[in-house]
Amino acid sequence: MDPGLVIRSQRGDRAALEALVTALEPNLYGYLLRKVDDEHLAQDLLQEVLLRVVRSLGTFKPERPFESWVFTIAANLCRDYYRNPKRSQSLDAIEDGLKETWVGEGPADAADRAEWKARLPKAVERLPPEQKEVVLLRVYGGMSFQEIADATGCPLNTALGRMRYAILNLRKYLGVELESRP
Amino acid sequence: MDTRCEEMQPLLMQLAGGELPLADGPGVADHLAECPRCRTEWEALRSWLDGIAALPSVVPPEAARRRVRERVLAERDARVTRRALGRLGVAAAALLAAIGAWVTSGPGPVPGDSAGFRWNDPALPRFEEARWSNGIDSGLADVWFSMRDLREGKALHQEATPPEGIATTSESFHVGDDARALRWEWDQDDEDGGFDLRIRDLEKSIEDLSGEDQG
Repeated sequence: MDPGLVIRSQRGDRAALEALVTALEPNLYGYLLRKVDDEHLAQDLLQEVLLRVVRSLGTFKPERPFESWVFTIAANLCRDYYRNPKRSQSLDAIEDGLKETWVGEGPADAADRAEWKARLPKAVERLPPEQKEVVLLRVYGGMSFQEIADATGCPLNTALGRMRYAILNLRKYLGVELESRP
Repeated sequence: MDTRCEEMQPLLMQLAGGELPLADGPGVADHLAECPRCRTEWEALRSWLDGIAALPSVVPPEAARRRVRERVLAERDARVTRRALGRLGVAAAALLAAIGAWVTSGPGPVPGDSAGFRWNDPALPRFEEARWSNGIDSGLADVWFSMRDLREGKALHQEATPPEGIATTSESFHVGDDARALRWEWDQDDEDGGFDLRIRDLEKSIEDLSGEDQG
């Protein structure tokens, strides 16, 4: 994100703010949509996150990555939604079964990469909420693991472990899907 | 998986994510060189992290984008307007105060003037002096007022108060562990054109600790 755009927005520059919103929208909406899996809810949340950004812009300290700050706001806003127990279905059994199953393949080697990419969003949606959160903040927020740990209020090692389990689960989901394709 | 491999787990993810240079991890490079299992995991993690970065961004539908943008910019416009009105209000109040002071108060304390008083009330042993002056800081006919603890030699508070006929205001002072609610009253002295100042301790209901412009 262009720091000049952020500073000009902080000073009330309307055009800069509009450009800032435009720059944030695709990743922020991608994060929210993957997280709540509901277009209308994601659009409402997008608006609410951006309103909170505008209201709090004066308190943002430029020493911090701007995207990290915005996605922390988004993560906090979504937290209540994710407290819904129906969305917290645990996949521990799958995780346990995967603990020792590393092989040297990455997604690029697993199958046709275009098909893999097409299946990836659905696979991410299947992840348990805590694992999905780490993946989405990493990919869409561009956040470091430490920033993710700070935003989600967990220790660094927990964030790292969630990412590891997320990858193991993705590998399982995509592997199953790939194996079962016609 | 041995203990060393378990210790490597979080480091491998940080390494794979590019957040831990290989040379910085304690013994990581040596372990990877001798442990094919961890080396394999590291390479797999790196590959998967690169792979999930391909998760596509999503642009909201145009109607939703327009609606969100309009709402966000409206919020920005409202905030800018409120700030501008706030600044205008402060400027107007300062101007009115200056005009009011000029019309009603006659010759006040001259710019840079200061006067001190002490009180001897044992209930307030720490508040030993007040000083005031006008004009210097604000450029307007405001009066600044500060209390000073003479023993510690530091200012406790400063307040700009327009010298209308009588201006009163209440403040809490914090001195060490003490928090005291005080009120001070300005009063134009018709005889000599100076100011009288009375300070009241609201908590102790002491009516008039009083201080008087001795300047």
